[in-house]
Amino acid sequence: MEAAAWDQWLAQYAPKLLLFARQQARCETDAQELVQDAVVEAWRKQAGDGLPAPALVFGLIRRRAVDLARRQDRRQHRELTAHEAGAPEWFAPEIEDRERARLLQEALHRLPAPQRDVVTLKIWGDLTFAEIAAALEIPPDTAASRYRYALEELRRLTKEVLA
Amino acid sequence: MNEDERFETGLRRVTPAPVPPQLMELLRAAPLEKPSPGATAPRPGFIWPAWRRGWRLWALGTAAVAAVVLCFTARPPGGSQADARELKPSAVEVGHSLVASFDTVQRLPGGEPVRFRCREWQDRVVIRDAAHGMVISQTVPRVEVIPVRFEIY
Repeated sequence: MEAAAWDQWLAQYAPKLLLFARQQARCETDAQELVQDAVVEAWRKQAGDGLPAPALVFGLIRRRAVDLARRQDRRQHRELTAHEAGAPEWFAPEIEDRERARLLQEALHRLPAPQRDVVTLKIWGDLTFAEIAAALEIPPDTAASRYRYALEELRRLTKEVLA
Repeated sequence: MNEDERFETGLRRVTPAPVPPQLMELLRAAPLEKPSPGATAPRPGFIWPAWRRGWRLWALGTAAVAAVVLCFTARPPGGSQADARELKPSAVEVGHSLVASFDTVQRLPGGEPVRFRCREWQDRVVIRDAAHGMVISQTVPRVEVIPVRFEIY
């Protein structure tokens, strides 16, 4: 595996992985550790020398986040604090799109977590419903259904800006 | 393109925030942490008794942290030319976190039981040299074993 290929993989997927991890974690430190640990574990799980499958890394982030929340009993705290001021911005808008990004982040916060997971993996993770189902350990039909509901709700919440 | 597709396109136009540079550096090193296919498990050697193994790990951990700190605090005698090339830490962070804590009872050679309090720590030293743009980070596991008291039955 060439370093250039790995750099290219990171440039393409690292921001998407961090976006997903930020939605799962209680704080920025936890989010970055989730990404780092999942990437290293994905490398270890690779049988050959190919690059890690993005769906595998997203799934590992999800599982590690659940483990972390259970271990530290922070789930409730996380839900309460995830939206505190000073939290990192999830999106990197151009100057003129800053309002759009802020509104989208607000709307994603308001979605139920299972719907937010699916819509994030589909839109920004570029995963198929089959890959999302594997990553989240749910049936593909459930993933597709959650996506439809999430999209509908997002459209309602952001219709002024994104429509 | 129907309404759903237009909306999805609008969402995709908002791109995820970039990854902080220090995280990107750590991710670039991820393939290096992959074990080589030919690697074999270490052979079992002499096994120290639990309480002595604890002291040994504690000593090793402390020595490693001390060595790192000394490397960046002790100055070599003379050699101003060497000073220009050496790292000059702009910030040093030393911290530790408790990983686990438990009590265990062991017997001394004479047969007397004694209770030990064992604590597993992670010591962390981060040294930053802003001038050279370098960050050196080391995390060392440390086991602390404290004899609490002789047990009386």
